[in-house]
Amino acid sequence: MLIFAIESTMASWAQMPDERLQSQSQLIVYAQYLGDSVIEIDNKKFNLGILNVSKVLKGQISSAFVFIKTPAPSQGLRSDMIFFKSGQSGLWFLKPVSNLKGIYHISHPSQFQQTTPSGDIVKYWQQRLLNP
Amino acid sequence: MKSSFIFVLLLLFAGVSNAYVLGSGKWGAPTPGTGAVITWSLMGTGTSCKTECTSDGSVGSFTAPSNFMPSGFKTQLERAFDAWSNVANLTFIEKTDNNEDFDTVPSSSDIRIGGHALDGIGSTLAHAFFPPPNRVSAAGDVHFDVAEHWKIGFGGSGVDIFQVFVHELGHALGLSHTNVPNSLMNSIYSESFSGPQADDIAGMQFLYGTAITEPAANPVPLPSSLFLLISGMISLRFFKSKIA
Repeated sequence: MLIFAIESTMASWAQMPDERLQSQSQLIVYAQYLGDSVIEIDNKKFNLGILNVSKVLKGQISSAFVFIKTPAPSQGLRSDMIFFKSGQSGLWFLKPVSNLKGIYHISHPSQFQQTTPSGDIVKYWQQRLLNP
Repeated sequence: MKSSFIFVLLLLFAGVSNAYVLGSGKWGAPTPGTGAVITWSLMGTGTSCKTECTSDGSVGSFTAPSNFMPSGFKTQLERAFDAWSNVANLTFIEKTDNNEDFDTVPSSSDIRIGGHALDGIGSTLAHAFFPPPNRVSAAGDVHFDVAEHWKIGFGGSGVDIFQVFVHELGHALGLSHTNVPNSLMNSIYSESFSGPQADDIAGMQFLYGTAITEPAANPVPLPSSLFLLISGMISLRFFKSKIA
């Protein structure tokens, strides 16, 4: 499986085997990135990106919108920050944020794989999840 | 037919690969192509990283590289500095770190190096802050993941200190990621090459100019002053006798 690195990511990452990507992902969805916004939870401000989910491959969601924690500008520019642009669509492999219920995060470029809803990558993962 | 096939191949190649990508900022003068003198230091264990190295908002601390890397690690870091200063107009000077808090002024050096927990073994190996302006003094700092199995050289399990650090240093100096295959500034760790490659070098030279090379040690031997004096006197005597 190829790693489809996102242009705006910058760090040194180890290869992510599909087995690990699958096991660490609580949710695997096909979705479009709508944009991000600052939200206050327990007096703390977080930058949250919003995904509009159109297909769920693994896990369960209660709404078509899923939130992912995104880097805040106040943190400065660090090489392991992963940024997304509105309109980016593909497969998202989402890990839950430990202290924020219902919020997920992306910490490796392979957690987002740009593709079309019926693209080969989607077919590969559907097949893989059916026959683990 | 053959030439058009090659042309199409070249077009395809151009479509899937980008040249180097600039990040944010540079050291020294902001004009691209101008050199810089940059200081670096190794942070000691216990240096406060404030909330930078924790995920729950608590205050944490760095671990010195000597505490989680094999002996000889410093030579690998120095090799990485040399790898960039050999190709671009960059001078790196080591300083002693005073272990002041992360991202404060005054700061011991421009590039402060240390370790903390990132995300366990694998995935993110290290991260770096882009050059100034970037926060207070965090710009250029490089943090290794203490959970990785750090090694010296390629082969076997673990990640090579030089290969990761020279990549992070690329970010700390102002380069972002490229999609060029087999390029150091590609985001995924690779042992199929070592250090900066052609595209990486081109990027760094765009930012800082080419390396200022020392002139080779006396490429044309200069005559000693005694030799010049003696040969001058002989010539003078020779011409004098000719005239006489």
